[in-house]
Formats: sequence, C-alpha cells, structure tokens
Amino acid sequence: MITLRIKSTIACIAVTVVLASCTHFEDLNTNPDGFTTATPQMLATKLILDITRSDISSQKGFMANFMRDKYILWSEFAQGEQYNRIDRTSFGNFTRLIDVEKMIGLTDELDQEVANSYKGLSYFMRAYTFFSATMQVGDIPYSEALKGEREGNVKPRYDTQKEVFIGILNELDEANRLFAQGANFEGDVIYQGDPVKWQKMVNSFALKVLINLYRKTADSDLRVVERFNDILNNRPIFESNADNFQLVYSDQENQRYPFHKLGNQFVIYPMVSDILIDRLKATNDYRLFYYASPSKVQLDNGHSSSDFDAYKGTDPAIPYAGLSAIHSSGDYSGVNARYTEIPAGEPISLLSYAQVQFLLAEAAVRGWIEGDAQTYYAAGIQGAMQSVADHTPNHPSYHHNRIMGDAYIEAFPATNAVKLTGAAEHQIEQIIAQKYVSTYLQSPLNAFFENRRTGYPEFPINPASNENIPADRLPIRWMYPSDEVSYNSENVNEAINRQYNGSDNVNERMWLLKD
Amino acid sequence: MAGLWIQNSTEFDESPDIRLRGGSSNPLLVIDGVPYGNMGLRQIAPDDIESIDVLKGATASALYGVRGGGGAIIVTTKSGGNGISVNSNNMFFAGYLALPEVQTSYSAGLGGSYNSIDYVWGDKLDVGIMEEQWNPETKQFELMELTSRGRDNLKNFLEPGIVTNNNISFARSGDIGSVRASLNHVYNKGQYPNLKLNRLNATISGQLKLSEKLELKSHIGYNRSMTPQITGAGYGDQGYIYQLLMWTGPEYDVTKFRDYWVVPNEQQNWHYKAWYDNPYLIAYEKLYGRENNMTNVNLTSDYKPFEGAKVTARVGYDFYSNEDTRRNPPGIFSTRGWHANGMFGQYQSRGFSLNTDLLFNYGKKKLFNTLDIDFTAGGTIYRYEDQSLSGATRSGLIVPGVYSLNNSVERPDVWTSRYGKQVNSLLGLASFGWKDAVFLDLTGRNDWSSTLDITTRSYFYPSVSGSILLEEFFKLPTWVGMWKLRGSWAVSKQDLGVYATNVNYDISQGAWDGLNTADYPSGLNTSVIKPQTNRTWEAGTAIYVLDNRLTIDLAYYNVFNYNRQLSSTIPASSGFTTTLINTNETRVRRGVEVSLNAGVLKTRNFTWDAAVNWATTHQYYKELDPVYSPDNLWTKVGGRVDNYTITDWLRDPQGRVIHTNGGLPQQGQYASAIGYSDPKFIGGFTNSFTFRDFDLQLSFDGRVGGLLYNYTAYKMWDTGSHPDSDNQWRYDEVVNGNESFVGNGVKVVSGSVSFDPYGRITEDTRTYAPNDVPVSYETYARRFADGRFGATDPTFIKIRELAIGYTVPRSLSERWGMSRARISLTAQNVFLWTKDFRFADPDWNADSDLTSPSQRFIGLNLNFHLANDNQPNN
Repeated sequence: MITLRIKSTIACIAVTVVLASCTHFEDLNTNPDGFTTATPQMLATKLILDITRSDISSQKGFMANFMRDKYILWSEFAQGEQYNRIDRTSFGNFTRLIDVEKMIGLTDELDQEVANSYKGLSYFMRAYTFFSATMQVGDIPYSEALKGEREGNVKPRYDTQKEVFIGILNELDEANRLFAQGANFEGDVIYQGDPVKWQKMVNSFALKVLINLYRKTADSDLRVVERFNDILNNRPIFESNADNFQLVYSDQENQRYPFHKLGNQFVIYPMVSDILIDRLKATNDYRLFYYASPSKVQLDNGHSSSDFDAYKGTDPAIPYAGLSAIHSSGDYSGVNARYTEIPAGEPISLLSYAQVQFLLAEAAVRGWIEGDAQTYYAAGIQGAMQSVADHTPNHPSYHHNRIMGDAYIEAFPATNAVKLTGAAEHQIEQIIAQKYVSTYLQSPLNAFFENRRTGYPEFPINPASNENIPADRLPIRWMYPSDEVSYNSENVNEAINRQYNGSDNVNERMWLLKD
Repeated sequence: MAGLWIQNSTEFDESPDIRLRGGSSNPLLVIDGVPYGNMGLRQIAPDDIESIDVLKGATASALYGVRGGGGAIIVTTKSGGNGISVNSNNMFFAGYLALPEVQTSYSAGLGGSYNSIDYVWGDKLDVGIMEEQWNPETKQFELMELTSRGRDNLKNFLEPGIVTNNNISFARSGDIGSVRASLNHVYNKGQYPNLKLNRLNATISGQLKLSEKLELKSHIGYNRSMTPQITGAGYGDQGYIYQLLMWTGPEYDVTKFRDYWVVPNEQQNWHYKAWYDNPYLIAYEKLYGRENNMTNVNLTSDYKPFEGAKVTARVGYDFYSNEDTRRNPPGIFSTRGWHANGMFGQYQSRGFSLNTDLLFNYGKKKLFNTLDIDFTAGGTIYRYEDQSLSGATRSGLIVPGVYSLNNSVERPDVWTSRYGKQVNSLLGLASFGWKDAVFLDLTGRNDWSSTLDITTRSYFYPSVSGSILLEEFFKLPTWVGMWKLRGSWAVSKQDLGVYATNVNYDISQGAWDGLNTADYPSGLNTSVIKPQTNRTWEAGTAIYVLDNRLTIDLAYYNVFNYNRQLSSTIPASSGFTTTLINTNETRVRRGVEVSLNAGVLKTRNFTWDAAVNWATTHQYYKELDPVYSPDNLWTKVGGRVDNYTITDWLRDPQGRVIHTNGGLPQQGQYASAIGYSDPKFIGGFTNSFTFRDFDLQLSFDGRVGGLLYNYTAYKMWDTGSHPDSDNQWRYDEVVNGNESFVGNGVKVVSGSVSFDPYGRITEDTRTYAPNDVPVSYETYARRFADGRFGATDPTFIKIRELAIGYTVPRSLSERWGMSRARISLTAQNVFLWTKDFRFADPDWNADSDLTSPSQRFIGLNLNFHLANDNQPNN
C-alpha cells in the first residue's frame, strides 16, 4: 500500500527533476561539434579560395563566363550567356567581407608585421569585391554596407559609382602600404604568404582599376593619370609570369582543373568561336593548336591536325538551330584535349603579367606614361605565350606538333600581322585584341568587360538570335539584385532614379561608361 | 474525415504525408499515451492497432505540447484478448494509374541527327536509316537500322510489385491481467529490379493488476527493416524515369542490356558516354542500402489512492540505430552525389527519445446532482538525442570491386554531428459537465525548452472549449436526435530548432592542399527569439437527425499566426543574407469543414452507409513587417500567402505572347503571380455496404483547383520525348529539312517599353504585327514547352479503395475452431482522373522530383482468430 508520505515524495521528486534539468539546458543547446572562433589563417584561405576557386566555378558554370566572353559556344541548348541575355546580379559576395572583418579581429595576438599582411589582404579583398559589384551595376552600397551585425543596418544607402571608385583606389593604396611593412602569413594558396608578391598584385590590380577610368582623366578627384604614373614609378608591379595571381590545380579531390572530365558530363557541349579562331589564323598564331582541337570533318577531308585549315570556329551569333546542326555534323573545333584530359589542366589567373604589360602598352599609346608601347606589347604577348607553353605537356594531342619554342615566341610580336601600326585607336585595338587572345579560358569575364570598355574585339550582333531587347545592341550592365529590390527598395530605387531615370534596364549607361 | 489531407507518395516505401487543416507538418503520433520522438506509422503493425483517433486544431498542443501543434494521431494498441489471431494481407501490382507516355518516332540526339550523347531530338525511326549503334549482345558498335525497338522500354524494365504483410498474435487474459504478443512481417517488392524491403516487427504487451488500486501496463516493441537498394526514383537522383522515359531515346532495347558489364567492376555495357548509365547497372551496382532498427518501451503505472482519483506515472522510450551505405563502381556517368572513380560511403546514425509523465487525476460525477468534474494536473519531461558518424571514400577506389572505406584513394572523408533537446512541462486540465448538456474544458500548459534563450525559455499556453447539447434546452422536432454546438479558443506555441541560437563558423577540412577554411555564417543571429504562436478559435455544430441515420457536422476555424520565427531575407549588401527574427508579419488561416454521415439504407440483410466530407482552407497576410516583409505586388495585407509566381513571357495588351525578330518567344525579367497553389477544396466520399455476411467499401477523394508544377510533362518538351511534339512540323524539319513552324503570337514592329522596379509598365510605345517568322520547331518547343512553365491545375479524383469482404458466419467458423474468419479482396489506387495534369500523379502535391508511375494494387486479406477456452475474444 502506498501512503500519503510516498505520494508527496513523488511530487517533490517531480518538481525537483523539473527544476534541476533547467540548469543543463545551456550545455544541451550548445553544439559540441561547433566552432565559436577561428584562426586568421583559416579565414584567409577561405577568402582567397572564394575569389579564385569559387568564382572561377567548374563544369558548366566555368564555361558560362567564357560564353559571355564569346570564346565558347554551347550546344546543350540556347544559353542566355551566349546570346546576350543578362538579368539580375547578386551582392551575395558581400558576405565574404564579414569574414574579412572577423579575420582582422583575430590578428591581435600576432606579430605586428604578420598582422599587417592580413590587414593588407583585407583591404585588397574589399577593393576587389566592391570593384566587381560596381562594374556590373553602377552605384552600390559602399560606406553603409556590411553593417548588419555591427549596427543593425539592413537597408544600406547607395553611394555613387565615383565615390565607390575613390574608395577602391584608397583601399588599394592602404593595402600596398601594409604589405610593404608586412611579413610572411599563413593560409595563402596563391603566393604562400609572400607580402612582396601581394604588394605587386595589389598595385597591378590598381592599374587595372585605373585603366577602366580612362574616360575620367579630366576629373581632379580621381587623378587617374597621376596615380597611374605614381604606381608605375614608385611601387612594385608584376615582373614576370612568376608573379601571376593564379590558382594552380592538381590531381586531388576538389583541386582538379574546373573542366577536367572526371564526373564532368558537360565535356560534350563546348565549341570554340570564330572570333578567336579566325584571329589566330590571321596572325599565324600557334596558340590555335594549344587552345582548340581540329574539326573531325576537316581531318576526314585530308587536313592534318597541324594544319591551320583543320580548325573551324563557329559564329557565336548563329541561331541555335544552326549551331545544333553544325555540332551534329562534327564540323567544328572543340576545346583542346589538355583542358579535359589533364587533371591539373593549366593554372587559371585572375590577373597575369601579360595583362599588366598590355595595360602599360595601352597607357603608353594614350600618352599617360613614357615608354615604348611596342616594347610593353611584345612583352605581354611573349608572357602570354610562354605561360601556355610552360603548362602544356609534350604530347601531340595537346600541341598538335606546332610547338611554340623560345625562338618562335621571341619573333612573333614583331611579325607584320602582329606589330603595332597605324593611329592610336588602331594600336589600342591591336593591344586589346592580343589581350583577348591571352585570356582564353583565363580571367573569367575579363574579355567581356574589356569589350564593353573599348568595343574590341568586335562582337557580332545578329537580331535573329540576339536575346537582348532591343535586338540591335548588346547589354552593358546587370539589373540590381532581387533581394535589394524586395527588401531595400527605397535605397535601390533612389539609385535607379538618379542614374537611369527610374529604369533598371540592362542597356542603360552607367557613369563609368559615360564620357 | 474532413480537413485530413493524406498525400500519398508513389515512391517505394515512402510513408504518406499527412496534413491536418492545411498545416505545414505531419501531426504528432501518440502511441498508448506516449508521444514518441522517433516511432512512426511504419513501425506499428496495422494488426496491433485497436483504434485511431485524430485530434485536430490546438487541443493536441495542450496535451502534448509544442509537437502537437499540427494535430495529433492517437493510436491505441490492442491489449487483452484471448486466443491466436492470424492476418495475412497480400497486395499485387495491377497496372498503372499515371504512366508517362513518350513519342516513339524519333531517336536520341539533337538537331534531327542520331547521336547517343544527350536529348531525344534525333532522326526519324522506322524509315530505314542506318547508323553506327552499340550492339549490347556483341558489345561493340555496328551499323544497324534506326528503329523504335525500345518503344516499351519502361514497361519492360518495370517489374510487378508485391507487398505481403503477415501477422500472427497471441493473447491471454485472466483475473489479474493479460498478455499479448504479436509478430509481423512485411515483404515489399518494388517496381524496379533489385528494389525490395523486409520489415520485421515484434511486440509484447501486458497488464498486471497488483491490487485493487494499482495496475501496471507495459509494452515493448522491436522493429527492423532492411533494403539493399532504394536508388533509382526521382529526377535529382538521375534514376530510371529520368533515363528511360525522358532523356534517352526509343532506339535501343533496354532488355538486351541485362548483362551490364564489359569488364566486370570497371566498364559497363552501355552506349552513352555522359549523364546516363545502364539501368540494370544502376539497379544492381549503384546501391543505396538502408538498415533501420528501432526499439520502443512503454511502462505505465496507474494508482488509485481513493475513489475518483488516479495517479499515472509513465515512461516511454524509443531508441534507433540505423546504417545507410552507398556504393558505385567506376565508369558511371550519372554522378550527382556519387563518384566517377567509384565510391563507398557508410552513414551511421542513432538516437533516442524519452518521455516521462507524472499525472494526477480526480473525477467526480453528479456533484450536487448535476455537475460532472474531472481534473488532471502533472508534469512531463521530453528529451531526445541524435548522433551520426559518417565516412566516405575520397577520389575513388584503389581496387575495383572492393567496397570499403579501407579502399579509398585519398584518406576518407569523415564527418559527425550531435543533437539534443529537452522540454520540461507542467500542465493542467479541467473538465466540467452540467446536466450532461453543457460541457466546458479548460487547459493550461507551461513549457521550458532548451532551444530558446534563457529569457524566453518559459512559455505558457491555455485553451478553452465548450459545447452545448441544444436538445436539452429547447424543444426540437422529433426527427432531430441531437444537436450540438461547440466552440473553442486555444493557443499553441513553438520553440526553435536545436542550436538555432548558436553562432558557429562553418569549418571545412582539407579544402586545399591540406589547409582548412572557416566561414562566418551569412545568417544574422542577433535577436532574442520568442516562441512562435498560433491562436485558434473554432466554432462548429453537429446535428444528428432521423434516428441518427444522418449526421451533419460543420466547423469553421480561424488560426492567427504571430511572432513567426523566420530566417528572413535581408539584402546581402548588409553583409548577411538572412536574419533570424520574430517577424511582425502575421498571418491568418481560415477554413471550413463539412462532413455528412448517412445510413442511407438499412434493411434486414442490406445496409448502406455513406460519408461525404469537404474542406477548404486558405491563409492570408494579416499585417506586414515594414522591414522584413518582401516588397512586391502580391504580398499585401489581406492577400493570400500561397501565391504561385513565374517569370512570364512578354505579352501584348491582349495577352498574346511577344516573339523576338527571330521568331522565338521572349521571356520577361520580372516575376508575377499567376494564381494560387493551395487547392480550392478537397473532398472525399466513402461508402460501406453490407449484404448478409458480405461487405463492400468504395471510397473516392480528390482535390479541385490550385496550381502545381507538372515537372514531368514540362521537361519532356525540352528533352524531345513529349508525345505532342510528334507532329507535322517536327516531321518536316527532321525528314525534309524545312523549318515551317510559326509561333502563335505577335512581334514588335516598332516602339519600346519601360518597366518600374515592380515590373509594371510605365511607358509603352510598342506596335505589333502577327508573328510570321518560321523557326526550327525543335528550338521553339524546347523553349516554349507548354507555355506556362509547367504551372498546371492539379484537379483530380481518385477511386482510392475498393474492397469486398466475406466474414464466415460464427456458427461455421466455430466448427473449425475459429471464433472469427474473414477474407477480403481490396484494390487500392483503383482509378485516377485528372483535369490537366499529365504523366504524373498530382496526389503527392509535388511533381518537381519526377515521381515514379502510380501503381494500382489488388490485395487478398485473410484473417483468422482462434479462441481459447471460449473466453471473450478481441
């Protein structure tokens, strides 16, 4: 028989159990496998992989950017990137800049000089990210951005594109200053933490930003030409291919070349455009044999794979039905086997020595700097060719027996079809055209922005296939992100009104592109 | 019953999704008073179930806490009884309900040429064209004619499905208690090769009367299921329908590919070089195996200290230990989630849930001669923990054919997780009945949850409900037997997910050259989160007329949802993409449920009972949050929540599709809402007939209205397998080389248009002319498809069940020693009619993952009970 005493004991136990359990709730709701803090090295690795491996993407995403650059056509279906369709962009990359802030917050324990390197990295990451965003849309949030956690600001105001560029240039100056006083830091997959190389990268990138401001040389706030000369004369920039800002791939999981065939079902779709191939043929450029593979039909017709005529480019503006028919017939050049067969492929650079030399050649032609444009131009071409040759194993299917030896590379820039001739505008066209050849399957989207900036090389417009509205022109910007339109409407509408008369249209001309 | 929406999956061994009152999750399963955390309907043998009750609305919340917010299904298992019972249920496959059809006139390829690379827009079949094709018997390429030899590939690949469910149970009752044991076995053979499942369930339950005042009950169950292979269904899984129906052509005969190796464990007998694999290889070599074990224990003691009082102490515990394995050989092409160099992965998970209750109950009838009272008060502790440990090979297998983590090219990947939660509760219930005519129930419950911040951890939620039997107060006409009015008001609350308040870096091991990375979360987590609240009030009436031959039940309910916990989208320019907050956006769900039960006909030998139910419910925005609610045209106060949005084609003022100068339809750049996804209403109609010893069940149900993404039919336009694409324009293009198709719509002759940020036209100077540009039919069909981006009206009616049974008369069965014998024939998923939905069964409410063809089953059920010493049976 259970007595009243025992009954009340049960009640007491129940209450005690209830109350006692509450004290361990905090422990129960804390993830034992979670990390409340990290190290600056880990954040640095993440940031550097973000702008390289993540942005370069892989498989179809990798090739999508090169469709915009008009190097690649795609036979799977009518791809918007190939037919000039641009929609909304995203500011999703801004979340990386919070990692930048956290990284700086964790450097207090480190040596001053090592901390300087991390801080230099942080300014560079910010400048790089804001530059990419403003190049796509125009005005962006800059001074009020990234304050969601610190200040609770989830509706940042938009700065003008000019204010953003001034900010970017100042941040690159600061990055240069910090790397100059920096020491080797850990977590760097590109330069192994060498601050001198980073300093060169930061300054070379600043040159690229400045050349994009070429319409604004008269502006006294920007001082474009003055800054350009200051960097060239007083600061270190890329001196050889060893300084390239490039990601080197290898045969390990998640580190293979982004279009390697393993697990890649998209190898069957790409075709190389005639814009590239015809230009390579016109200048007798051996890079044709390293970039593309011969057309099956032309080989059957009797051409050998070391024949220029075995290679056939396809018009990127051809309507999809025609493209599909050509693909089925086999009479086209696909990408070279080294991009799909070699697990390490070739390193992919975001900024190369060759591109910097082309920047200097253009600045010389424009009269910004002293120096001989042809010298810079030749150095650029040779740097680009050398880089391709250095990363191609000696196998016929990769070079088709048209090997670019030292003598060939030395002589090529001075050949009649290549060397700089004519008036300034023609020389600039040649420089940009050679830059175009050098960024095949490198520096994603660089060719698109250079074409937007200069008009070179000329991209075809075919109203029958062009998906831009109106069909007689190419789009020159992206629309603002959907999360800005839905959740920051007041500020984004203000920016759209002051720049584009209220019309967030892909054909509108941003401040950067106006004279 | 009204408002209960059961969405059946056609997938193998997938349990139905049950929704009550349009709620967003499955209701809580309560077995013998224990709301187990891990037990599901599949772990209970149907023959162990005595009764099932459904608790709607927020009443379940009061009794079972937060987890009962979506309603509760109360299962009571059998106990007591005498004798041996045998039940055998066998279901056989009997045809398909919604089998996708494909065109069988054109081969694989693109642009009208044969090519075994991708797509089905190839050359014409059966007209004598010769092409190099793979011969699966000689395993090499040979010149063969292009014919539609594979026109029945899917039908030939599918195998008959069988589900056998056998149960035997023993029971014995006496003066001091009873024991019951039951053993259940299910064998499920699926529609595809190598798709099978074995499930074993064993339970013992007993009751013991220790004294007049103390009774003990116990129930122990063990459940084990094993299946070697569940891969192959759905689109994301790159499975059989993906391949056989949508993406590969009818020019190869799949039955000739049963011998799927060229080099065992290394090279498959197959002609594609990307995306697709030999389906028999997928069935027998690309394996996803599953082994589940679950144990549950329930110990209950009831003590009656004095008359009218009862103290219940109860412990309910379930424990599971599962292991999944995945493996594939090298050389496969459908690699999403698998590895092209071969892989083996082992995924172990285990966990438990523990419910303990201590409840005091006191009830007294006829207090002051008129009042019945019943009080319950007590406490509950609910706790669960889950953990997992997984490993997978990295970069492939060293030695082909050996599927083990020891055989990994690079060091295997390992990952782990642990979760735990506890909720303590105190609850009280009070029921009053006055003169058996007026009833009032009050409940109150306070929870302390580990997943909330310490300042918001404790939360209280009450409810009130009452009913009146009108016939006790008013003189009603004689044909009205009973007329009840009822109403209720209830609050239910919800806490956060486990670890939702944690802010943790996302660490990745060995991201590059052995370096690790860390990423700060992009979800902002700076607010203290309160529990989310649903306030429901309901009013209803039930009227029983004509000698209880007809019952009509009407209910109206209103659920106000506020303090919603939301990972709300914020602009990424703030540095974060979402923020966890209690939004000020509130919603209201309103619904009506009607059900009719009628004993239509009742004679000495024949009865006919019918029930009809009908329910409709919609959810609306009540208030919007100025900061966190999205700013667009369809999110507005008083507007519906279930907007179905697409980015539509550009259209002229008359709604005709605008085409480019190249003759292709032009898609706009702004989203718009074209309708609602919820059904207008759902309904059911069940009939029960008895004639002497025979009985017949016939039930229908269906839904009307709403929109659902008909992925199967939509995607088939892109791939080239849609039967409607087999028409004169395709023939003209492929065979004659003519592009003769002209899109139906207009083209812009002059002028331009500007849009505001919402997509509304601000300025329009366009002039139009009818579109007259001939284009490639293939290009047009792949882009335009059905013209609606797959948005389809999923209205359907199904004959869900047709069953005929015969119960052997007692006099006859007892002569054979059985107290009961019954045999019945049942057919499930008998018939489906859809208004617009094609090639898939809209019953599952989500065709976006390419459901497998719905199967019709015919079953045979035998049930015998052998009594013991003529004791009362169960």
